Amino acid sequence: MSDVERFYADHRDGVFRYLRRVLGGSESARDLTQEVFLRVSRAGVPEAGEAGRRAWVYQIARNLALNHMRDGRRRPISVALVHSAVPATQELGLALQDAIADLPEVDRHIFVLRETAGLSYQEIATTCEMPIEAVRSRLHRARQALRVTLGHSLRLSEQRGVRCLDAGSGTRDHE
Amino acid sequence: MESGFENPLEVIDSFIDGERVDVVRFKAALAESEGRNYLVDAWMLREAARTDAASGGGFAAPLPVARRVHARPWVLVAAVASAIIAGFAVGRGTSPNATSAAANQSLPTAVVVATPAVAAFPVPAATRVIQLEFRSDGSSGGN
Repeated sequence: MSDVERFYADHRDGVFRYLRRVLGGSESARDLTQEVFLRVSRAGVPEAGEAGRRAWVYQIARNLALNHMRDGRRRPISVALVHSAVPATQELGLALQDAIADLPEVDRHIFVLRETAGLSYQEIATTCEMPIEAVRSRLHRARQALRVTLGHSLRLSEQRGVRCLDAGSGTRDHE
Repeated sequence: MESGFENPLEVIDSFIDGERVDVVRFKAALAESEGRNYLVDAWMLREAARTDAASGGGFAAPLPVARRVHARPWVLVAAVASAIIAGFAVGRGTSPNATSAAANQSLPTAVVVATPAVAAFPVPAATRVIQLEFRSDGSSGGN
């Protein structure tokens, strides 16, 4: 398996989910994920640590997503959940998708890079080309905005409890 | 260790996001009910975000491969050389000099006689017959 193939196997799902979340549509996310890794295969995987490589590929994905949004002047749309075990979770998930779509663009990308892709503050700072302090501040602002928007759904979900999830694994702990 | 928080609750963000935080500052944030509520809500947002993202499935397409826009130089050189050699061979084999020389050596000379075009274009039947008479008294023709 070549470096590019290994890199693709490691990051394709994360990149797809990130794009799906920020764009709000699976079709666009699928096309852009192909485009991301087409560029990766052309350029080759850079000589850097894992954190640097992750930041690099998500930077490509973010730039493509921004271009895609600006070209079409699109607002992210909601995506219906395919399946979910608990209604409260499903309601919160749907409400969360709408609430994320309403976040300011930069805050939306930062929140999704953190919670869906599992990037660290340093990786997000590199991806978004901004200081770590700005990343932390914007992330806090995004969470506060989501708390306000999702107040009712969050209270409903409280009834089923909450569990500790790994800070750095993104969605991988669900797979 | 993180420093320079704009909001006291940012230390909670840093903690749940796996960053190293100042213990005193973290305890102070959790001493307030707002801090504790924020911690729980942030966890719930994380769980919802990850559950939703995971429910959409993964990306199953094969690795996209970049098409080669430029052929290798030696392929181009070989193609051009092959075309030149093939063209030379074909031209040499079909040129008039080569054909007539070969024919003179092995075959008798052929004489081509032009055939009249009448056979190819049959004359249509006459629709009107005009008969001319020639008289010797000088009354024919003219005025």
